[in-house]
Amino acid sequence: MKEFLGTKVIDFTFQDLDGNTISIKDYMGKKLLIFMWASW
Amino acid sequence: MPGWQKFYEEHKDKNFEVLSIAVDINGADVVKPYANDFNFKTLIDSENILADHYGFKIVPNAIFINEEGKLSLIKQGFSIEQRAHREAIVKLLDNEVPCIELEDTYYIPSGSNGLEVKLAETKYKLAKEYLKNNLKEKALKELDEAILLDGDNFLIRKQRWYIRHPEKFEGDIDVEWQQQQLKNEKEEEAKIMNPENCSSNGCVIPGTTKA
Repeated sequence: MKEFLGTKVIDFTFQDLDGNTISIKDYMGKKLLIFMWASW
Repeated sequence: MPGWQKFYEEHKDKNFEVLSIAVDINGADVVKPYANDFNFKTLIDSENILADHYGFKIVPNAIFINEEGKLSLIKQGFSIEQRAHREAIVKLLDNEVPCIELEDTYYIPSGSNGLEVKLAETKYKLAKEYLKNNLKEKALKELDEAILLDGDNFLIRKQRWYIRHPEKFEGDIDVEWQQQQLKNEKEEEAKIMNPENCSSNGCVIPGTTKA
């Protein structure tokens, strides 16, 4: 997993809870902390 | 998830955002009730795209991306409640270090065959399509086959549990049930994959003397 340090984040596009499409590109230029979780 | 809110309040002047990504094969409807008290943007990764790319086999996880769009931290089993994890993020926010590796190990899956993992990923995506078309049994069949291909993948394993036994995940999560379920499933899977090591008394580790 640590081989990904220093690499560019993959280009992803997901829907938000209202069905809008959001791209990781929208966050360019900011520090971003992504937190992945599940309801289970 | 109050810890996250508190952390964000303390550091929000540092030009940073928190993005919550929920994994659930069934998408927004299932996730919404859990994301209600979250003030952050929540996106749904219903095909495990992030997890498959970065090799996550379990949640919760964190990825920190710097202003150039590059990874400064990647941690399987991240918790904002853990001081070492929190402090690592603060160091990154304060530009003290360009990159951080957290030493604690949350989960060490045994090595998986690359092709089998890929096939498991494909079956997961197929299962999602079946579920969208209300073909639950076909979906579960794909997920059951996927776990045989990628037995260490808790994103697949627990998703199946959630589809079959949603009541076990309401309120307080029934950890004992999960442990027992894991034990039972691992034995069943060993029988399927290595029948010569298993009898009605359970499965034996290859190379050890049978009792």
